[in-house]
Amino acid sequence: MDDIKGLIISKLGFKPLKLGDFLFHEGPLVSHFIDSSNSQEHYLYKWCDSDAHCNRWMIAKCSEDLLVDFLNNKITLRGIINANSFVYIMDLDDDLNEQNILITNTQDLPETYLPTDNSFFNEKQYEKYALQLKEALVNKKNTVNIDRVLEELSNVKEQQHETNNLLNAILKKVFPNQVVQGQVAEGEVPYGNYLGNRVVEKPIYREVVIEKRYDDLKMIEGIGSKIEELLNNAGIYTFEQLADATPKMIREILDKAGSRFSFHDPSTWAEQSGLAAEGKWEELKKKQNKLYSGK
Amino acid sequence: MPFLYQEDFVNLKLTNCPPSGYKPKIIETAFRWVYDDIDDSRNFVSQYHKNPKRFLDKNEKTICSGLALSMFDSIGNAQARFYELREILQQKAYNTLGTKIAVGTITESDGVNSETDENGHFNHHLTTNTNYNKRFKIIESL
Repeated sequence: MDDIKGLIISKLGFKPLKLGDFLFHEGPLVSHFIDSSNSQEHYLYKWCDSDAHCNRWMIAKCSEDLLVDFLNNKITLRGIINANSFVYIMDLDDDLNEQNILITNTQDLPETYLPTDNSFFNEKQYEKYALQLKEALVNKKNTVNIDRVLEELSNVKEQQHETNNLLNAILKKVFPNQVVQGQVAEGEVPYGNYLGNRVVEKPIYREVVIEKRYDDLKMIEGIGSKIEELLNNAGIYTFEQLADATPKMIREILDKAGSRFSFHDPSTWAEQSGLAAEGKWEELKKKQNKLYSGK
Repeated sequence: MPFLYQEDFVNLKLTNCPPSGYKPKIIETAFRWVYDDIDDSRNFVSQYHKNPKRFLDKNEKTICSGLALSMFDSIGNAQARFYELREILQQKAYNTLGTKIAVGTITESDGVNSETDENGHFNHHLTTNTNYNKRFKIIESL
C-alpha cells in the first residue's frame, strides 16, 4: 500500500456506528457511519487500498448539510472529502481490528485514493440505503431544530403563553419571507426511521414541524394562475398577506412582470382578500358579483 | 451438489443463506469481472474468502452477500457498473474488482441466483466443482 504522511494515533476521534452502505460490490466500498455519541456527525468510509493483510479505508467527516447536497447531486464525493482539512486513514484486518490509524492532511492524499471529479451520487447505482437516507434527510431538513427557534425567543418582545402561538410568532422572525405554520412535536429521535434497526440510542427529540401555508389566491376576482405565481414569487402566499399589501406594491409586482400584466387593476384585491382571510365567503361572493371584474 | 461455502453457512450460523428467494436456473450468458489470467485464483472466489476480506461489519446480510459471486446479465451492464465504481476508486478499481470481463453459461446445478436487479446484477451462490475458470472466457478489457 502507499505510504501516507500523517500523524499516527491510537484510536479514532469518534465512536463509529455503521448505518449503511452507499456502494457495495461483494463487500462495502463506500459506507455511512455516525458518531454514536453525537448522531449529528456523519462520516463516510471509502475503500482506498489493500495489501495481503489489511484493507485501507479513508474516513471523511461530513456535515448533514453537505450530505444532503451530495445526495441532491450538488457536490461530488470528492468534494465532501476535500471539504475536510484532515481525514483519517485506517487499516482494518479480516477481524475488523484497527491496525493503523493516521490523521492526514487531505492535500497529502494520493490521487488514486480520491474519487474523481465526476463522483456524483447516482441513484441507479447506489444502494437502496442511500435513497432511503436521502428521503429521510430531505424530510428532516424541512423541520427546524427547536434550539434554533428558542434562540430567537430572546428577540421576541411580546411574550405569548400558548406554545404554538409563541412558536408561530418566532417562526415569523426566523422565516420572514415565508408563511409557515409550526407545531412542537416530540417523539423518538427521527434517525430511528431512516437508520433501520441498528440505532442503539433512541433519545427523545423536540423539534418544530413546519409547513408552508398557501391560500388559493385565484379565488380573488382578477387573479389567475400566472398572477398567483407572480404574487407567490414576491412572497405573497396568503389572503392575509394580500390584504396587507397596498395597491402600489401589487402594481409594482405586475409592472415588473412585463407589459402584458399592466392592464390588470389590483385596486380591489386587498379588500377581497381581507374578506377571504376572515372567512367571510358570502360577503366576498356578493362583492365579486357586484364587480364586473376585479381587473 | 452441496454449496461450495456450505461449511461457512453453518459455522457462521447464517440462518438464511443463500436467501430463500434465490433459485437455480440456466443463464446462457453470465458476465463476471475477472483478472487478466482466467486462472487467477481471485477470479471465482467469494469476497469472504479473499485476503483480506473487504468488510466493515459482520451482519448476516453482508456476510452472506460476501459469500456470493457477483455476475451481470450483459456485457453493457458489467461495463456500466465497473465504470461507475471507477469514478470512486480510480485505478484501484482494477486492483480490487478486476481488469477483464469474462462470459460463461451457468446451469441449474451450478448454484442458486438472486433476481437480476435494475442494473443487470445478480448474486450467485455456487456449488462445488463448478470449474468456472475452465468454462468462462475472457472477452473484453475493462
